[in-house]
Amino acid sequence: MNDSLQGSSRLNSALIRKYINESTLLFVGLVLGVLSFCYFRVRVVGKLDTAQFQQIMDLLPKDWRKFSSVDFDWLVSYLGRTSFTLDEPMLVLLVSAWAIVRGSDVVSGELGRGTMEMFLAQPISRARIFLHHAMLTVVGVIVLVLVAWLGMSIGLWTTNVEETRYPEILGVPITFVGPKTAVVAELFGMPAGFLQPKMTEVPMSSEVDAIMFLPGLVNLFSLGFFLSAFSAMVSAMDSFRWRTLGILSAFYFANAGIKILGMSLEESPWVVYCSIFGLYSPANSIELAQHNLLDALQWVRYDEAGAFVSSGPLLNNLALIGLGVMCYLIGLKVFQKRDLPAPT
Amino acid sequence: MVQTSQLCKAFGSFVALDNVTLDIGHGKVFGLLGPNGAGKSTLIRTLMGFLKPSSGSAVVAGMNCHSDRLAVHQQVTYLPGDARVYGLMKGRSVLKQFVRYRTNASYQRALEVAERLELDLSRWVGLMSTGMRQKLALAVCLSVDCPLVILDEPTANLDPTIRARVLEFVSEARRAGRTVIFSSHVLSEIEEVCDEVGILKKGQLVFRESMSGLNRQHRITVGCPAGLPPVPESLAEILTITQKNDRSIIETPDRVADVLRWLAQAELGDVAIEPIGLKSVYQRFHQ
Repeated sequence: MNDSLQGSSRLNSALIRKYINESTLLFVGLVLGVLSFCYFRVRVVGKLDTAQFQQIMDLLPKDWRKFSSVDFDWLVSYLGRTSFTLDEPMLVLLVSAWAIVRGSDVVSGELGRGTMEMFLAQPISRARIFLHHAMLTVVGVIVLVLVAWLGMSIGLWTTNVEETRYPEILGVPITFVGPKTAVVAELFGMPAGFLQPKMTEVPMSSEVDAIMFLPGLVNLFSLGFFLSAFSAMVSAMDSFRWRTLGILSAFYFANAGIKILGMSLEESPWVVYCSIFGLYSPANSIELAQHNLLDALQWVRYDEAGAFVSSGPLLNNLALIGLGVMCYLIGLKVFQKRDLPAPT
Repeated sequence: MVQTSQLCKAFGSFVALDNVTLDIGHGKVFGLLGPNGAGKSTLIRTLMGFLKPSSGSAVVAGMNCHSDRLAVHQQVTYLPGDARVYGLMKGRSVLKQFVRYRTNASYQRALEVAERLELDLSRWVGLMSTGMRQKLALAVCLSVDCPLVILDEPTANLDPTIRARVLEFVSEARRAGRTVIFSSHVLSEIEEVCDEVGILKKGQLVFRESMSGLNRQHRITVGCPAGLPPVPESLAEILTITQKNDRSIIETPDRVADVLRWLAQAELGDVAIEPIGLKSVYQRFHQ
């Protein structure tokens, strides 16, 4: 019994070591990419004053609003703009690259390289191989998501933003930011004209709390998990890595296209949910949970009139993870049953 | 140690193995011969559990090769016909990695094999020649101490000196009481190290014989102008006699002395006696 446990843990650590060796370079590259992208993306937000950004947004045609998963007014805020980092195609592509490249390697990658034959000749079950590979890929996704968080957080901690401060009137400190200042000032019965605004620099972390990104990060992980599982499933069915990658690329871009198409069709919002990216809406999750993180536990979003707006973060994440688990189970079953072709 | 019964494997309409029935005893070296596409690798890969038989069964050490493949792999070490290992590692790391997968493998033994094969383990696998990669795979395979060794064309891509070393390893395995399945295109290698030989043709096992039985088979070519004397009843069933020009070619599976005594009754011209040999048998099926 002891020997068997020892052998098993030795085998597990050998597999983990193998997969780490195989993926270290790719992983380090992606970590650096994600870290720098998220950091610079947040820095760029700090360089653009909210008031100026509002002006830019106001210039955009109204039709364009439907392509945003969040309210445009919220998007103007620092939280909105920094949260949108998680919606950036570049970040999604970096995390997807890990999920797809590693996921596709498990069966068709080894078969394509011709290394599967010697590997499977060892007393290692196919389930153990498949599940260890899956585990390492998912851990990689988790680390990339945490690195994205770290990059954004470093950006928040190291970036100062200019804030327009107004002098105290009647002992009431008034600090309003942006073009609404005049309107709000008038509410207090004070003409905006006489106020002498004072520009001060404050750290962006005082405007945005990094913990607020959590719902969006969970959504990013869910997408990465699904893509890893889907890639592993396709890999388990195929014998050539190049073909697996072709299928996955076609799936990826077709889904991205369907989401854009769905967003443009206001009369058929369901089209968005024909795409896997219809379930990916991190900024939206953050917007929902900006006052209370538990607000992210929503299945469906309705507007004030009770009409369906979109699926909620909870549904999106559970659907992505559920589909991912299903893909992993199918992939495992296929791998266990299939004949392994000779190397070509 | 290895039994197959009516083993068939078809890929669509192509039948790669057709009713192969085989029994390889403990401690024997079994040579598997056949041209490319005859089904040698398919048979081996079915024994390894990589392929599910279309019908029939394959058993190693009493365990089903497909449904119990994990237990079977504990009993087997295998060198694939096209052995490839991960390219972004050094030879030494590859040996270490494979040794970790098994409780019955030894890194020390792997190093010894590599040394005897004159393999430079400090080189990256991706920069190794085909022959070096073959040596590395051999070192991985032979580092395992288990009852069955399956070698699919182990000497391919190797120079004559190293080929001889590989044959030494096979002989050592036999001396250690291990069973070896040795697939090769090189007839002389099979003759040198095998106890038994099987020939595959289009997925069928068309010939199977022990090497000692094969060595007892002889071909006697005689010039006999007056014709051969009547064949005694005791030899009639075993002899194959063909006429070629003015010579008679007599093939006998055994009992050469009896055949010669019979021929001595006739007035013979020139006589040539030679063992039939594997080459002749092979050519009988694959010309």
